[in-house]
Amino acid sequence: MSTETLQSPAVHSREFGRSTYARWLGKVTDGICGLAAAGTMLVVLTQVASRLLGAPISWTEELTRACFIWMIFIGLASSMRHADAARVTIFMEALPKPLRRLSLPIYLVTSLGFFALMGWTGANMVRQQLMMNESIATLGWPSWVIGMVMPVSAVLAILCTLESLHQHRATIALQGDDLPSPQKATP
Amino acid sequence: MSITLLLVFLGLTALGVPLAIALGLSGVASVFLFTSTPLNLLSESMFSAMNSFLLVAVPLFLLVGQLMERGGVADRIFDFAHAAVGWLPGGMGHVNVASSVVFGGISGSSVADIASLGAVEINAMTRHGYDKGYAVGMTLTTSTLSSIIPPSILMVIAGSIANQSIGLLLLAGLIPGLFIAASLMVYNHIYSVRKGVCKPTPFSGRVLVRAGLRAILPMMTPVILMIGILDGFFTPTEAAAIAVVYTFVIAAVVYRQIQWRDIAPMLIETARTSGNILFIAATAKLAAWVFAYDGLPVKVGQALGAITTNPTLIMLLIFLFLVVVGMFMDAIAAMFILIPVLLPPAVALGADPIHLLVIVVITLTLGLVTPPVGVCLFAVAKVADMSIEEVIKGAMAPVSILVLSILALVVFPVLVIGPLRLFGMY
Repeated sequence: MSTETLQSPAVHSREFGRSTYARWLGKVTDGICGLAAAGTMLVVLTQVASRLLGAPISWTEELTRACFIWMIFIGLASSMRHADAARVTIFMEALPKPLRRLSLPIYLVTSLGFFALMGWTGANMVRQQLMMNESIATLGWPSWVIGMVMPVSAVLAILCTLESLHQHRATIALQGDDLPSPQKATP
Repeated sequence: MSITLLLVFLGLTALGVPLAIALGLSGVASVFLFTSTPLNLLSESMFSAMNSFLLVAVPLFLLVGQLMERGGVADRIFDFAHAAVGWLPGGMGHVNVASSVVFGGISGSSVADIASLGAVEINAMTRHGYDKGYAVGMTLTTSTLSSIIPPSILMVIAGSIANQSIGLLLLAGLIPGLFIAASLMVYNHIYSVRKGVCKPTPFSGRVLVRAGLRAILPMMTPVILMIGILDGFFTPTEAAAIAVVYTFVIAAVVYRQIQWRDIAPMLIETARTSGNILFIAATAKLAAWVFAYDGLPVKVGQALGAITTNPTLIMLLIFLFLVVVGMFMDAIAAMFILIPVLLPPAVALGADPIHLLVIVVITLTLGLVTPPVGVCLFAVAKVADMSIEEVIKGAMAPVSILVLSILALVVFPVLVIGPLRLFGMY
């Protein structure tokens, strides 16, 4: 008998709802990441090609930076979904297992608190860009088109951090057998 | 103010808080406690840190690494290295070094070196009579070459932080990388002769040519990159994009190892890894603002100047400091925090900026292979199915050679900047 049939309808419905939500969250973050990464590369190539053909395009550098900024900030939200953020765990791992449990609340409070602050200050930045009617020099687009990534990525990072608890709880809480390799940022 | 930031950062880091978040929160705490600057500075500094065309090279080089990793390049490089130096006494150890030199010239990532070549190198060495600990130690040590030899992702980041020519800095890593490789080969030769392992075999020019032709296309990547950058055909960022197209054509069209459907996952993975790496850069900008506001570089300069005004001794002090920092802190995070603090005073006291940046990158690379948090150390232990303690034991001698080589690069700046000056590039 499968586990699914043992669940009550309420639990089953909640789990189904959660997995659908997780799937969509993944699709949204991965989709933006993929598009932004592809965009970054294509625009840089356009820049090279146009210059080599003797007809340089003026807006490519700005558009590259725009795609890049979106890629990085949504990419960081995506890395939170996979609990990939670089961290030093040796000191906490050295603690007895019950104390190690503190890792989870510490990780959650600091991460969620930081992203909330980033979202709030990011929204202020966008409001300021709107009020001042700022625009990007060559592209002529309003600046908030790029600035918007700050609050958007902050919200996505909060959702992704919460979602990571379902898939990577043991890793975050330093309780699993497969403890994270430390400091994964440097390639 | 700077001290508060550092203490809060270290405290949060010790509690297992992600490095970027620890850096951001400590920056916010310092700004909030010691200045009347609005906290909007957080988003503004993070945003402006990423508003950089130079940093776009980072994800592009990561994508090159991924394409090469999945493109069936590792075997060809290993076969070529085998044909080129495998006939020497201690051949397989030399092959290990040479493979990493060539691979480093393509990928720029030490972890990718271990993931792609690690198992092949370790198995080949143990099959030829090497002790497994030594084979693993050598593989671990040679993986650092990928972060030094161009195109090195760490050099790109260091150059963008210090506002120095990325092309020049990438090139400046070449001779030190080859110097370290040569030192490791000399040590390997002595080790192999003493232990009587891996006796010399006849050299075959035909095998070398055949292996060279099989590997020629990926090996051309760094050549195209460096010629393109140095001759002014394209910027480092544009060069990285060209490298993506070139490696994609090799992997997908020539070697047929990559399908169209593989592209989307690779782009997503690239964005995620870049977001992870550069998140630290984004929050470090606020820390750099705090250090500048507090006048930390000037204070560090005064402190250094009080100890010594000899540039070589200053470089030695910085080297020792970075060895300790690198053992506990991620290389990228350390670069973003320390380069703005160390570079201006060290240069004011007579150190050369390119020499200093190369030493910073290479010394922090050492942190990738040293306990307690060396990411390559963990990667190679996984690949070799050995405990961390066993790996450390096997790596003691090769890592010592690496440290001595870096020390030579610190003391003799001519090894780093001499070749650049010789060819009129600096």
